[in-house]
Amino acid sequence: MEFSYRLEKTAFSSQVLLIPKEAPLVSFQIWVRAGSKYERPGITGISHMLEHMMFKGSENYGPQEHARRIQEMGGEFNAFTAHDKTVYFENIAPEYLEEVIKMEADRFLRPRFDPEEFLREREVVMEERKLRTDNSPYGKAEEELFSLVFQAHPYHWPIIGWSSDIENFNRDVLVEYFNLRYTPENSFFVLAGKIPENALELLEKYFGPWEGKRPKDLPLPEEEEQKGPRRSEMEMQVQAPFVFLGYLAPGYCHRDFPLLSIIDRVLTEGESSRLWQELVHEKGLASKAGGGIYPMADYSLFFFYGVSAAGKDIRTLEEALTQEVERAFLTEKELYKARNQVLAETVSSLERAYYTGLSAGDGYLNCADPSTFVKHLEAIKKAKIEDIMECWERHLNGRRRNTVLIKGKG
Amino acid sequence: MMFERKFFQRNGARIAVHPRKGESFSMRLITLGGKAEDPEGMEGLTALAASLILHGCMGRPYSRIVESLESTGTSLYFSAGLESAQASFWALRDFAEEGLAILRDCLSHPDFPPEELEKEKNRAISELRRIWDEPEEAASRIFAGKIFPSHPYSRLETPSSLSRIGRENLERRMEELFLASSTFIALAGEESLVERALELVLDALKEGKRAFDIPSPQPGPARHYFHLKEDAEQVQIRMGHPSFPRNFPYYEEALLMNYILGGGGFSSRLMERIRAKEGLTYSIRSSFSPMLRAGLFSITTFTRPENTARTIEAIVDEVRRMVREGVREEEVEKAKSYYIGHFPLSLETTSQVSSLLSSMLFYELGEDYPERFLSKIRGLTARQINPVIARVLFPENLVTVVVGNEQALKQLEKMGEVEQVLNEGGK
Repeated sequence: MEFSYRLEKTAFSSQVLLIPKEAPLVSFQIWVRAGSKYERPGITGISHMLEHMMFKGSENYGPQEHARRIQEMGGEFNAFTAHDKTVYFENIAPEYLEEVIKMEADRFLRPRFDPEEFLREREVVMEERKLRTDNSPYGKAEEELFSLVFQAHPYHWPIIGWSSDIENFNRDVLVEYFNLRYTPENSFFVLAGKIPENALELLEKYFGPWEGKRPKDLPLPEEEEQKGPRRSEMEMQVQAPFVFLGYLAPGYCHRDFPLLSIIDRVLTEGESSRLWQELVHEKGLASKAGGGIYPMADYSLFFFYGVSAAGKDIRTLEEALTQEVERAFLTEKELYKARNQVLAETVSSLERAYYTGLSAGDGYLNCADPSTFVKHLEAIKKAKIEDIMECWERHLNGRRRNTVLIKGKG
Repeated sequence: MMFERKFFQRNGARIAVHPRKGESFSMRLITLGGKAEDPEGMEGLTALAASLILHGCMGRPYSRIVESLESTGTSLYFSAGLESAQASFWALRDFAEEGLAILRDCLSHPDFPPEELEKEKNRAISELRRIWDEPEEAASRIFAGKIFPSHPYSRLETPSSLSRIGRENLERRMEELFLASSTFIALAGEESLVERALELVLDALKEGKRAFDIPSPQPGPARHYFHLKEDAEQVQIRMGHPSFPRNFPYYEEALLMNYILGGGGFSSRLMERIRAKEGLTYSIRSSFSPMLRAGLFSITTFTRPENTARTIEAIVDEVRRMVREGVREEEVEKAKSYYIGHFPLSLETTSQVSSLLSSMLFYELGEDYPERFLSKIRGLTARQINPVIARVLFPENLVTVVVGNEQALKQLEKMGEVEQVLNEGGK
């Protein structure tokens, strides 16, 4: 498995992560430390709203023109907002890199934030929220789970923001947030794949005048150790009641993280996973069961779910799910399997320049080390059963459990 | 040639290989025969047979089979479409052979243990119930069931059709599938491994060839279907009609037209009108999904309940305008530019290449298809595309499916007759 990178600094004080690899394309990514954790009550979701507005035109490009130009190149583009970051990307043939950098520089240095576009886009974001959350029982349950697990830290609120905050967004707040966070010191570039030799020169040429410091963020509140199980039940129009379990887990750079990834694979990965075998196949209590880890910088969220099978009681499923999750034990065979699963996932993501860039970018953003994902793989290869079991008992226990149960109406 | 590939036939099966050095190996196997052939009253048979292939073979139980595959990070899935059944295989190079041996054993000697059949049937019935909880999935299911009126392509599995399926039905169905001369295999990976993979896979195929005798569906009249979700804050909308098959000689013309209409993201007319200009949705797209005997034209979007009628009217208006006015040369140039630029970028991984090669084989597109496709796209103009539009878009035959609340229903009723669709629970 091959992974190598180079880190450079531009004259305008941005870091550039270069990951040359054989590919028909180059993935150009701009990472900004502007995620929902940097917001405050009243403006939750502003990072995501800003991401939308970045497609609404800059000094030299009209609304959506940027997107249209990339499509004409046959390229892929988009952006996404998360808890710790906003990432903009283009996957394009290398000969288009200059034009892409030119367009990106225009919107990062000279965005328009047109007031009428702003009002229209706010409506679009409300529709997006309805699609993902208000109109989806699973989205709603996920939002509730985050709020239950994170009580002090800003991971408490949803990335897309609370409905009333979205309705109240105003342009001034958005511009202020942009000026504070979209600075060269607070952002970095990732280039992965077939990188043209003059890539750095192009960045200097177009982003050269970009100015701004890294904002002095106040320390964020820490979660206190949970002292007992928390629970939330909601009634919704569902035919198949379901349950989510969530546990506070350490952040992406923490030494426990690779060990938790092993536990995740054992419990949730594939049809041979314990949850699938026990709850779906053996007991027939669930039609679906699984889970995963939301990796984030300060903490992660370890979650599990089960969707009740026809005619099966949701409480019985909840009990069985909880029991499986909190029963710490591991066999050599399971450890071997988890290792190979992580290896296969890593090889598979390294086949694509875009995913390689994302993996390296996460390591750099959170841990100041682009090779974190490779180090995690190494740690997983060396992990010992007793250490994993200790980690399991410490993180996944009844005292630290958060349960969200969605039952049908009436 | 854009990428290296070889085509040949062995034991009757048609094979395409993309030799590539690297750590992964990918294979796709497609065989003629799909869900559209399920006997009436036994819908779900082919899909169930496909999903049960790994649930026990040569005396090995399901749990051991999936354990063996997943222990090496290998993924293997059997699935069924309307016209074909498929196997998708991906493995790390060093573990591929182990996984392929399992594929061979299970494909050639599936046990279909009765208790596994019962479990999978129950799970499928539970899934049918769950689908109605997610408005997006509910809308897509209704659409699939209504789009080809009175045609096998729109017959869906139900709890009662699933409950009728017995082990002997699965065994009989398997006899008809994966016959060598009706099977297509695409492989991407190291050459020595490709050879070994072919030995194993060909060993699992039965001799013989089969026909696929399903008549092509025709567009029916425009109709409105509605499913009530009382607490829905958003309305899911699907619109479409039957369309051309994959061997349609004007496929590329239709592809470019659709890019302009609703396939081209922010460049499309639907996105420009419904999202950018009128702010009615976050996303709207249209697509053609051509198959062997038929195809499907579909539009997918969502909006607020109070905007249901306005959104549907705006969509119909844009489709009519496309038929009436056609496309403009500058729009065609942009669409061409997208496909010409995008095609080479979409062949980065072994899975992407094996997927393209398997479609080339199944739809008999020819060995030089990638080059011919691009060369045809390069040469197209608005003058060539416009005469094709009325042959592929039928605005007066659009079937509309809406999932939403009472307010959405009232809006839909103003537009004409509405047929309400209930879920399996009678709601």
